[in-house]
Amino acid sequence: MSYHGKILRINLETKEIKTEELSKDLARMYIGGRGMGTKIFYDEVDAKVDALSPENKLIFATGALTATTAPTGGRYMVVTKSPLTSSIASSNSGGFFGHKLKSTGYDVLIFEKKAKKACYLYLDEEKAELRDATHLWGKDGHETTDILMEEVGEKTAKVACIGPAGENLSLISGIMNDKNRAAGRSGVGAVMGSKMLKAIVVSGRKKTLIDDKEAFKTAVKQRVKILKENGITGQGLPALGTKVLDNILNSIGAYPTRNFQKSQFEFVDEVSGEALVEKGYLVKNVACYACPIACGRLIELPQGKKGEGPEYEAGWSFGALCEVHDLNTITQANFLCNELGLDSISAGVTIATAMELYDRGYIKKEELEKGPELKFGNAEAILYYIKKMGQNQGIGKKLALGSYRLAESYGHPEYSMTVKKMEIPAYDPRGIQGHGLGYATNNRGGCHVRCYMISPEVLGAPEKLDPQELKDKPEWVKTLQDLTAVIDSSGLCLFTSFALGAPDYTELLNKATGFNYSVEEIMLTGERIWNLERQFNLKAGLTAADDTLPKRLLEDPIPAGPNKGHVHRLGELLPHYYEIRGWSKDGIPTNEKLKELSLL
Amino acid sequence: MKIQVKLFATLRLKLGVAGIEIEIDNPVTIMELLKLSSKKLKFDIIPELIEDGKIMVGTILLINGKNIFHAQKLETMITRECEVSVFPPAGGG
Ligand code: SF4
Repeated sequence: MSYHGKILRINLETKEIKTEELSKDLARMYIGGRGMGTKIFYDEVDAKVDALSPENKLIFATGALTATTAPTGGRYMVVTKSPLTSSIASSNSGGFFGHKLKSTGYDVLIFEKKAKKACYLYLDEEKAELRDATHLWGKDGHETTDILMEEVGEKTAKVACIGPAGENLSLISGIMNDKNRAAGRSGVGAVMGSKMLKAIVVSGRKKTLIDDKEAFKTAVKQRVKILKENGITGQGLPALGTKVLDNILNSIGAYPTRNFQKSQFEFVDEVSGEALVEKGYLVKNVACYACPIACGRLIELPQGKKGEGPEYEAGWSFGALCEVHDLNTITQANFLCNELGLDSISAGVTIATAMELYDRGYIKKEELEKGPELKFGNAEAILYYIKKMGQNQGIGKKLALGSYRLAESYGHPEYSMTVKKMEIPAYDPRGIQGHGLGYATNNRGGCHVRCYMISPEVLGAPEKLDPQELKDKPEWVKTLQDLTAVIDSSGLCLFTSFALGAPDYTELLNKATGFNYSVEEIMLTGERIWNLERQFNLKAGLTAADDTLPKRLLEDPIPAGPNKGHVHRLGELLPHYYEIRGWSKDGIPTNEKLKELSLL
Repeated sequence: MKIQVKLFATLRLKLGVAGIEIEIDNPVTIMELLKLSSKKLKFDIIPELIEDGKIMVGTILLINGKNIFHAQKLETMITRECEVSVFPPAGGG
């Protein structure tokens, strides 16, 4: 079985650390990662808890295929209640930390309460210790990682930590691992900061046991071959990374520009993935643990600064959305977010919101305290205000709370491009209807990776759907949401789904766990996870009214380009989505549905 | 009439050109346009985009931003001056 069967529970207040058994039934019902983390969290934490109080818990959960040879099997999931959205937060990350975490012999870590002073957890196969981190408090993520690596003196150890943004309880702060990989979204960094937990260092060599070794090996080999032969995962992503999307989304007129006031950016050629290569910034592509795709970018700027990224979303949020076309600045902005521990999507969207508020005269010049003007297109402002945001200084204090609270504080939440108060990523829903439904119904708010409808609606995988057509979209959205819950629970990367489908994941899981799921059972498991998250959100006080999009996207037609005249037609999609989900008209799962999913 | 053919992603990097202009007298299908483009580029771009006569999964061909997949696919006619965007299988974010 590809689980170690162990949970580590860490009480940060009393410093008590104990090992508990992971139940096999729980594993079978929820797979691991996102599913298992959510179930544990749901059972243990009152949904009404204040997300930044000691009563909130912070869970790190590895997947059933984490630390196996399954392609991309290196991921972990952070599950907690989000201080940004008040909904369930689960934030996923790659790199090498997840692999090492599981190699300590634990599947799940549960952090409870709040430490009296800054600390970090050191964990290996033999020991689990809470150690003092007062010397690290205030340090950025890169410095913290370097100091800890030196301190523990083990070359193969891996570090996950928060930067100043998380310490300062920025609601858009993430948890960084391997320096540049992020469990970025939902403000999980602030939860870690509220617990005074600066970092987790993991080291270990414990092998993950596989149920049927030979069959698993064959199954892995076949899937790696599929990924290598697929145009998207075998050529496109390795060559250009996620930034290949800039030109695609811009050409079809769904590339949000100027805080979603436009959907095409005239300077796209200066900031695209192609430009990153042509300008000579790209050193090489880099891969996470066991990944044959290698979509990561190692970048060196002409002034000598090195780092990773920007990914498509970060490049866009600081670029087109703020109408900034200096790729060097955009890249630096991404580096800065990684160091400060800020969610680079939310940070960019929040600055774009601030630019619109400034443009409309709501943010006054005096408030900027002689800082650069918050004008669209002002590259200098980007770096300046990211620093302010991360350090919680001046107007940065308001920015650090995210786009929604910023716009609301000026009495104009309508300028915030968020769903459930989380910043929407780089695809204009008015040009891609199914993807918009995915945003509106997302359990963690404005996010693209719980239901990547871009794959069928734009890229044509597994088949090409018309992005403006409404027919069958609720069905597609439901299927992708459920399937993604499975992938996230397995510990694999969502990008594998450009080439792999439910039968592939089922086979990999079966050979590793010995559970012998049918494909239907696996999809039902994904649905169970989705509904459990929904149940948590309803208990937390969210309602169907939160399944919506910003007014601008529902009412203001795209002004020009291929999607000219279109709005998002959520009202025509949502009732049918609720219906096929087996939910009431008010978006509440019916008892019948809950019984079917063994949630009642 | 003049057709602007824009190349992206691996095609742009491989060929080192962002786009070319094709001059046609009569309407052509997109397939014919790709052949004319290959001739002008002295590089056959078709195997990068099309397999067994079908648009490869991930390939995107647009006429003024509209995907030809939702028109007549490779038989879609080009009848007016326009911009054609050519993306070989790309990727996601
Ligand atoms: S596809 Fe990219 S993000 Fe996913 S595991 Fe591979 S390198 Fe990491």
